[in-house]
Amino acid sequence: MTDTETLRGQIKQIIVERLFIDGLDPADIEDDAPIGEQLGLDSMDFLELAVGLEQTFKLEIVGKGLEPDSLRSVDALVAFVEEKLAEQHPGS
Amino acid sequence: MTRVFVTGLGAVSPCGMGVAPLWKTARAGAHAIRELELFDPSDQRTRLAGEFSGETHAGRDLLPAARRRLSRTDRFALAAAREAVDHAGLDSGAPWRNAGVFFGTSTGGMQEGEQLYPDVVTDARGAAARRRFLDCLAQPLGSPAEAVARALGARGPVETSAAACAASTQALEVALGSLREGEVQLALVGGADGLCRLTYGGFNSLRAVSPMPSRPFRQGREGLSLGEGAGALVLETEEHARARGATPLAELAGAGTSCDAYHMTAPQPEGRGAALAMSRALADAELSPARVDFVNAHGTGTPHNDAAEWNALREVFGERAGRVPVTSTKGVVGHLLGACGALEAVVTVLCLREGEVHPTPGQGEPDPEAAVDLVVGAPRSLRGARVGVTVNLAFGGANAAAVFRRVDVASDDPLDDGGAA
Repeated sequence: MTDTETLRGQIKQIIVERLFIDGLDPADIEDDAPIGEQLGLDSMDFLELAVGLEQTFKLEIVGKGLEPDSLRSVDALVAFVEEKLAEQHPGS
Repeated sequence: MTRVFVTGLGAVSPCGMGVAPLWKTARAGAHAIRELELFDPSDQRTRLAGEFSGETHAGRDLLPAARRRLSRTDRFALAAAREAVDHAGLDSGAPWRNAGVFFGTSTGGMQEGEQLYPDVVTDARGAAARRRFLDCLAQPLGSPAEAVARALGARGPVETSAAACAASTQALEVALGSLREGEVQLALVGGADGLCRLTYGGFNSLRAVSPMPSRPFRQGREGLSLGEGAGALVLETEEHARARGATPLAELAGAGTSCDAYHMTAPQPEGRGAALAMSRALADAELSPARVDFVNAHGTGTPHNDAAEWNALREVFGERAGRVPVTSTKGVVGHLLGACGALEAVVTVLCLREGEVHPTPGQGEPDPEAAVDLVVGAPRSLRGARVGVTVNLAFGGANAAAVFRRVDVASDDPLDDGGAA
């Protein structure tokens, strides 16, 4: 599995656990569909998700380039987290 | 005047999910008051409650994160509403586009809200506290009505009455006005309340809770039993019901409200406010008290309530007061607070439909100071019953009553034997 695929799995796990979506298998979250519409997330969930990403990956993203589109889908989240990791933890 | 029909009933109660287990328990003269399990009552005077234990299956059709947002009370509201809408033979969506939702609740999602405090004190950044913060979004009193409106696609009016134990009876009155005025042709009316520490501890502190299951209108009664659940009724104008070929279950013939303007928790001892609400409801229905076949009383089982209510019945019915059959559904399920009005309205309609009044459980002899003609032991057959009154009295002195009239669908004129006296 590539690093990107590992990251994708971690992010899906964070969505389910951090947002307490009981009974949802992370593997069932689609990669390219908007997660808001797919799961019924609201703005509180997106904020909680952003904070969850910050804590898990030791990132600062709220107020550091986070846009609504950054959280739009799992694909968007993977790209955004990879970009922030490269910026904030280069070479790690 | 536009007539308003009840065409669907729904209930969630300590007896189980749905109207059927509620009616079965009530008919049997049984009750559903048990040891409380939802939270620890060990620091309270009593340990009993009418707790719902089961699965409502509410919100199955919602997206996963939206379903998780529902409070226990929201789920009761949704489940009762769904049953009533199914019973009425309606779908969600199109029929509800211009329809109303009128709800009553006392504490909404309080139970989820109050869970937050211990979790924050223990570990404010921990997973439990974070979860509770999200759960708290369903705490506001408007949440049950809004959850129902979202599920049905009802665009309003969507209104919540918050007059404590008279809340959902008030909602019936508001809905009746909206339907008569032509604001809506179709409405979902209900009440929902889940057990929570605030009301459980509060009523215990007031010494208003009985250590044994409540015994409405009995001598030596010691208080009420708290309960939880929801009731729901589909109401529609006669024209709307007939146009879609719906079967009317009963007519909501009138409703009335009042305020004791007396005390924060005690009822006015002579029951003047309660009498006024019942008299207004009967006047609204253009029926004299002589036409009333039975009363589903507020009947909490507290010494004060039942005595004041007896005085109110004497004021309304005069010398006939002791001969009007009276029952208290609270003896069966406990006091559902903001939901009791809707649930007892459902039961009142069932009594009319079935031609019998369910008995009031509870041990002890009738209280001569509250000398109603209490139905006890077995259902009282009232085959010819046409008119039932349900009344609720609340903290703050809010009172509300509703009058239901049997509708004989076999007759072209349902008013043929139920007209104005």
